[in-house]
Amino acid sequence: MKNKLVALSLIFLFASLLLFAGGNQEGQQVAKTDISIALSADITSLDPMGHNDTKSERVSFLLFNRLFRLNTDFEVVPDLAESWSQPSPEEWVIKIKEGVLFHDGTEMTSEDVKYSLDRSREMPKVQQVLSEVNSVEVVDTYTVKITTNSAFAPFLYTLVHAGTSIVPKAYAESDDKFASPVGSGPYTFVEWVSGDRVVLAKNDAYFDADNMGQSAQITFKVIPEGTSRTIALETGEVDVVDELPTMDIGKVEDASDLTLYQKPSTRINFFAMNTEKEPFDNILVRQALNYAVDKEAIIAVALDGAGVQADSVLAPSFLGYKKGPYSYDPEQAKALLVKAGYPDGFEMSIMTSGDERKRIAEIIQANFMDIGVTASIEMLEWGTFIDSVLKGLEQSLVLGWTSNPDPDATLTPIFFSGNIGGMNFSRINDPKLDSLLKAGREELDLAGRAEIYGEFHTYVMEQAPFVPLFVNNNNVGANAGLKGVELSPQGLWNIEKIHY
Amino acid sequence: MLIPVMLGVIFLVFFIISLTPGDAASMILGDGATEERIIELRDDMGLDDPLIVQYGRYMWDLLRGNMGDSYSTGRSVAGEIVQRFPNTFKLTVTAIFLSVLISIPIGVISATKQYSLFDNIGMILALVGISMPSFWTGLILIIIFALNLGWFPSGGMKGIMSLVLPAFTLAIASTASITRTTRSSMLEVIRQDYINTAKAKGVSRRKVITRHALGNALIPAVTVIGLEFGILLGGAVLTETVFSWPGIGRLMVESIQRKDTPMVLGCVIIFSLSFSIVNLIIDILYAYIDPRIKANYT
Repeated sequence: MKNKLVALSLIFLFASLLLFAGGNQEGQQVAKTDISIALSADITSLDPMGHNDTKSERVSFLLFNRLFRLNTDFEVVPDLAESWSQPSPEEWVIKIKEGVLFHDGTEMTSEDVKYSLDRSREMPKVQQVLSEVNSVEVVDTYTVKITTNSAFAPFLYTLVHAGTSIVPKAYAESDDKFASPVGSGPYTFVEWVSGDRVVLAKNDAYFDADNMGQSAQITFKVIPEGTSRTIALETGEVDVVDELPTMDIGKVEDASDLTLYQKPSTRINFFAMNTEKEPFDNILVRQALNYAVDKEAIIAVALDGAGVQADSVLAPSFLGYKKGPYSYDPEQAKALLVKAGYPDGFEMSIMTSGDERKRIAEIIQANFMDIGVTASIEMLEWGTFIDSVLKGLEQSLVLGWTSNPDPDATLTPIFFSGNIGGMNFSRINDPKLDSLLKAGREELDLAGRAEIYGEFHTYVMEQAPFVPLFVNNNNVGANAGLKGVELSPQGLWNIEKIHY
Repeated sequence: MLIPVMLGVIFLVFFIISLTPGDAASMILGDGATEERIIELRDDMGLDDPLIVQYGRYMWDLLRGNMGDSYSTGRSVAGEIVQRFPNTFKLTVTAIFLSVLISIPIGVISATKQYSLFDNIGMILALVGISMPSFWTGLILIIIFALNLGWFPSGGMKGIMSLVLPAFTLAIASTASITRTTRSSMLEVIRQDYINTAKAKGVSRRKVITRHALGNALIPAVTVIGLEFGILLGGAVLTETVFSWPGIGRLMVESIQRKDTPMVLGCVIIFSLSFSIVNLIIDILYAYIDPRIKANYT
């Protein structure tokens, strides 16, 4: 008996040793030419057209190039594009740089561009990005002509999306299915260990000398738990934490070997009222509630201070942004309620989902109590919440929205009357909003567009279907020795430039 | 036994998932997809067919070894599981090995020295171990051994060192239950007449315990070990999350959140399969531990 037990344990021990024999025995301390970045979730795909999430986008941006890119001020700048012109409002002629090499050594031509943009319009995850494109034609080896369905001003903004990356036609048609992707970007693919890490190596043959990769190797490590991410940063196992938990901001700020980077994001959180329902069909009631909410308190309680107050329906980084007229003023709110015919307030419900939004709703509830409005909070599971909102069952709701870089990409889904039953959360149906949105899409002149959106902001805040609450900050923690850490409103930016 | 259990599990999970709100087609297409595209894709995927037809189609594919593609990543479910499962297996084997190594001796000594100081301390520790939630234990271990002492990495899967903390975290909980089971069955056995007989004929105390008592007391302990092993193979979600360990438990939870039905089903299948296989192995082990069981079948 005893011998059997001993033998059994030995077999166990031996088996477990065998399991690790193949394991990687490298030391933990990475050399200073390599950097690692913590991601809160794994990427979903290495195919730039096979995903639509920010984690996968980080990797796609390093492996591939697009015709245009955004700078940290949210302006469109050329990436692969050498020059472009617009023979007519619907036509865009784009010439790409000559001599751009894919990682397999072949040169990029307009055939690849046409193939990629056509593929982008077919792939389920990103097909909506280029929905305005009617056709893509090859003009010569380095030039394509893109025709849009109508005059579409924000068109160049759609070409910065990861889903419009240029992939080599020959490779994309092969059987590899982007298991080891070939792109043209500043980094080449090394490995992806599902759920654990993605490793990229510097592309020494990169076409753009000004934007060469700076570190020899970049490893994205998947660390789902917030506290574990911060600890990994403190121990030096990772050099950059992309989404720092708000709770740990102070800790990173205090540590002498770490640096905190903050910038307002494009994510706005709002309280939306269902304008089809009483009493929110009354504009004075909506305006009153805009005076009633203490946004600073919400930022302090729900976000640990890591946000800025929102004064209109978009984050301030957007074209044509204009502040609304409201401030925290319960007296003004009460006066407006009296004017609206509700001197004794009313009862209402706030529908939402999730922990953070629950805390937000509770503060709003307390604020409303001060002006005599009794609000109940209805917490739902996320799927049920979204279903109910799409059906318009709610009286009011608390929600957030992460925007794409062009104002149209947010404002049309949220305020266009045709999207009632979709993302038009306040179910507002206003001809003036509709016509401003349409004008903004068609006006090709930048200053002209800024003016249209400015007017939109003024008008929508006067109509007050939303109480804008706050804009989240992007919080990035990094080793103090790192250079080139940049943030755009969309978070960590130009990762290829980060180095020791 | 194995096959009907698996069929039952798949059936249940398939229908429970279909009851949850949210639509797979709009999830695949993401925000901004047009209604027509969603309807088209629903049609392609056969999501509007009666549930029983969808179930039949899934089972038919499964019988031919095709677990489908993930809704969210588009990669094959089988491929993803083949990547993830060995990680969970590594962690589980190490954790169970550690806990057996610790718990059997403690259990045996506690039983032979019942109500001694050692016994009391051992049982209090077991109680503490079983009561601590694993995410908390994990974080405490990380703070002590990774952050302050710097002996082990705080997470990830790189080399044997990264295995130590998560394996210990898992081992702590299972050690507690195995110790208690070993102790109580050992207590029962050493009161038997044949132990007295052995003692009376002058067998040394050590030999009485290792040769006469332990073997007979092991059956309940092995049962508990088997159960713990089976459960851990299904993925220790919390521990895997705290230690960023790319195992099957995290894969399953993330897939549930994304309403990725084929991936969830794949994980459930692998979970129930490994659970059933472990139980089978335990049944076979009984025969080796207790020859009387073998004798019944020969």
